[in-house]
Amino acid sequence: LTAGAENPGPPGPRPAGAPEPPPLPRGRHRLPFEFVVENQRRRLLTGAARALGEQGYAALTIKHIIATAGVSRTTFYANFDDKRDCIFAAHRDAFERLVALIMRACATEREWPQKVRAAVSASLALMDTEPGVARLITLNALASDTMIARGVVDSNAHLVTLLRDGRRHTPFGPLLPDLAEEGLIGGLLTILGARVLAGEEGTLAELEPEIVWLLLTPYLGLEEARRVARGEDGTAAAPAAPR
Amino acid sequence: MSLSPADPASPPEPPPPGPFTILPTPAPTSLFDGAPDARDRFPREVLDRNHRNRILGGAVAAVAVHGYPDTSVASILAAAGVSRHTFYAQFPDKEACLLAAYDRGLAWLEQEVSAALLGAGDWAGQVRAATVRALSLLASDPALARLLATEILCLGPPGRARRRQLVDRLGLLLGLGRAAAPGSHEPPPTLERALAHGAIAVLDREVAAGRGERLAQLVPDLAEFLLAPYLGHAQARRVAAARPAPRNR
Repeated sequence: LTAGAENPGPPGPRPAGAPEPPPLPRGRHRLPFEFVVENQRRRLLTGAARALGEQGYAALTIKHIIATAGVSRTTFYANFDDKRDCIFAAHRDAFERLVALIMRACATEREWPQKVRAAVSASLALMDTEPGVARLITLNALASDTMIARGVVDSNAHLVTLLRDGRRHTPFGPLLPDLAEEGLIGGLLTILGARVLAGEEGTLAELEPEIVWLLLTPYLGLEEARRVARGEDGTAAAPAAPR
Repeated sequence: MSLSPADPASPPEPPPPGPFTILPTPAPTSLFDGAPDARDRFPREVLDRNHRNRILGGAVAAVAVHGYPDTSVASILAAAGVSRHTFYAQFPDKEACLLAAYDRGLAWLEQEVSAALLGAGDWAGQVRAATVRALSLLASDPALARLLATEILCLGPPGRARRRQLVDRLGLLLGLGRAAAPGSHEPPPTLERALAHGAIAVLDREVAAGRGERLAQLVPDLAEFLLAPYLGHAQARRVAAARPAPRNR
């Protein structure tokens, strides 16, 4: 788990590769200007994610965000117009990381169904280790803002495109109605969002077999989808079998 | 006006009254026979209900234009054509007003959809009939569609609770398909919730893209999406397109 997810105070040592940079040293330093700017922006984005999780969108204030990020109000306004702008950017950032992660995970497998399984596994792991990212990715359930909701729809379109590729690689793919991927992605993100909202982030990985099963069923049929989801397809085993 | 009885695209019965119908009150007989006297001559309940419906309809319209967070009571008043005093006589605040509008709008939709289920045949036929009815009603009122699909989530915990209730109810109808599914393949336990949420996500996208009036065009695809996990693709497509099953030899 990300250290200090509940504690917006001074961040301790972070796991390697974690996106939140350490705070800048106090007082005078010789760090290059660009480094400082990027550091502050990243801390704002991750701080916004954490503050969002703690407060919910409606109750979230810029005061919360800057306290969590450990930057000044001036720095906030140098980066963003307002709360909506900041959350919008944080959401986009989280989604870019998710998509990059999915692409990497897919590259480790050769067959499309296994790529989906790897992508789901990596996505859930990301959401489990970084609750802030989980909240942003499933923002639909948290947002109290129409514009943010629109941004979510746009980002989801990215995942829709990725999944749609399966139409070329699966027996039933070519038969699917046009809106199938939209429905699948929308449905799954909402279910994940409900878990996150209930404070159950950190336990998302256990949903992997079921999610893979749900995602693959339209393309492979119920039985074959279940076999892949349970790791009974002769390739890498999934961590746990549904039921 | 399409009066040709042979046109299958236009159902013979008139569209049902909307969720926020204003009951007619007799027109004033003279220029000065206006609102003040109406209080004496019409039952209090009728006037109250008309006010309430006017406000609810105005609230739905205002939210469709501004989005819930940027909707003010003033914009509801402007859309409804009532005074601030009238508004606050009916609702304590904007949130209560929109929750009431949602509840009324959804109750109306559910009533109409339930009526469409009668005579729709087996489970698959009912899912299709429900899809047809719901989409055509929502297409006739895109502002209401936007409140039901998207804006309700902006109302915080009570809004999310309503979404959960809706998904649970949709899930109940869909879940009956488990018995209709051929073979012994039990679908994933969360299938119904995923399908219900997925269908709402699709509506949300369509309404957001300004295609609310064309929701009815989604009927075959959406019905197929909902039916396929249970029935398989061929059968789901046949039912969704309302084609008769191939005759068994």
